[in-house]
Amino acid sequence: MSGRFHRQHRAAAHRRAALGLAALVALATGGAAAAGDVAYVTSQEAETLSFVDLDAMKVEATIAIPGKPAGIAVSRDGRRAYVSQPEARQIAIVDTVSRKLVGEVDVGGGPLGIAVHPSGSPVYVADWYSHSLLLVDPEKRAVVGSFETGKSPSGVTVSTSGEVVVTADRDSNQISFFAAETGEVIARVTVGERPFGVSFSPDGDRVYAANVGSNSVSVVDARGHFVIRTVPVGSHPYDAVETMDKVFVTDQYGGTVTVFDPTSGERIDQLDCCDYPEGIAPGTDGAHVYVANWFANTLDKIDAASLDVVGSVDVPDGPRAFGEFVRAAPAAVGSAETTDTPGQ
Amino acid sequence: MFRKLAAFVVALLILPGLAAAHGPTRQKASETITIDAAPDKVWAVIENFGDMSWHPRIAMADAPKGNEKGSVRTLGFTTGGMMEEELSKYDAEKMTYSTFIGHVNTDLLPATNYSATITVKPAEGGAKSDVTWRAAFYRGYPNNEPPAELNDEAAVTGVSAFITEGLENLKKTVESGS
Repeated sequence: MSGRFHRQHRAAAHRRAALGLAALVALATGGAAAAGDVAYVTSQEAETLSFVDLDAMKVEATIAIPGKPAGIAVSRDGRRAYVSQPEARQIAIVDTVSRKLVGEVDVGGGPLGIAVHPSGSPVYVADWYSHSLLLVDPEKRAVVGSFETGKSPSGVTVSTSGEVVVTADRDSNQISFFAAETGEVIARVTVGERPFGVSFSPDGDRVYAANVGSNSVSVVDARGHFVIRTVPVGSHPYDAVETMDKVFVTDQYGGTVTVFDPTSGERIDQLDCCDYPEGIAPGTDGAHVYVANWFANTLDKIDAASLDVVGSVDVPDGPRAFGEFVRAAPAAVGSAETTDTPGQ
Repeated sequence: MFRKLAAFVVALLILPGLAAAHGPTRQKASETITIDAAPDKVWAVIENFGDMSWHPRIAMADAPKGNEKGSVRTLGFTTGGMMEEELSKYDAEKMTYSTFIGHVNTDLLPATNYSATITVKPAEGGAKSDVTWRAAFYRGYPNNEPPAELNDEAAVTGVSAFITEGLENLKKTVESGS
């Protein structure tokens, strides 16, 4: 899901500096200070989106999102969150500063996985039923195009550069690479059975696909478009992300997080930490990964170095958080310009 | 791109029925019962994966590979019909195991993709036990517009009943000392 580490690392430093400034300004003016990272957690049964302060591990706000929300994407500047609502056949647009649902876009079909281009548009929505990736213009609030995927696309991710979009085509046992600009199919790569979550490595060299049906993760060469290796993980993996030179995989039925070496594929550990873990994402500095526990209704914080669970917070029923659900907190309204980072 | 867009718009116009589709979401059920016996007494009744005689709906069970991970037990129901359940996790020290039924016979249990965990924990300082049985599953009908007997509600009701009957009979079995 991440895929933007190196840049984000730099960007995060810029952003932290900018945020520090913004915080000072906010303090001086008596406004709310922007903090570190925020997790945007979709709870499917409760039909909500929760805003979690990841430094304090505290839910700051929860808003209603109808339609069994599942997928989540957040713009690079952290100001817009997009939520897929499979049952409402819509996506929701959320203003993360005012924490309000500001719009819904009817996309039809079965929207599930969702991602947003680094430029802020389009928003990519994997449509489970039409076997396509829909392109949504968040300003026009309309579907403006589509890419042809395999059957039942689920996860979707965009490269740091914004040039390549990848979908996990669950019922075709493949991942699709698209040129973001044209929609041209760069490659279709056969992976394990029923790939669900998909993400780029921070350096952009590899793509990870979590194979729900074969209890493995396919490590795919992002430039050569071939499977480098298939790594066995726990039961029913949901998603995989790399941070701190480790790949973390949520094993839904196993109740574990499998950790393996990104270059050798060797297992580092299998953390008996979790309870139907689903969405997983690193923080902006990469030091922690956050895991949504669907059954226990918690968000756990795992130290990516020590592999200890260092925090947990209760969230509403059925958290899925499927997508890149962690971003640096948005700056307060009016100071947005100062947080725009070079190179985006 | 524009041609694709045009085709897409046309598809949306002529296929409103398809556009109305959405998939099932996973459901959960969980129940805890307090049993008037120490945890090891309770665990002794359920610890063998190949023995589910403590459940009133199970007439016979057999697990040739015993309690090792990946072991499969065949369950024969008192009403007739069989199902296979796999052992996905087993921890005697923590008195817990997890199971998975990939192909549920919906005549016996109105759900699919059923996974469950049963755990025994000490209660009231270890004099009693709390047994928790939790399950996650999808409804019995995987597509849209499920019949009433195989919808989300029916799945939750059906699985909850299976759990409740099992736990109540486990309590009875342990407390009567039989």
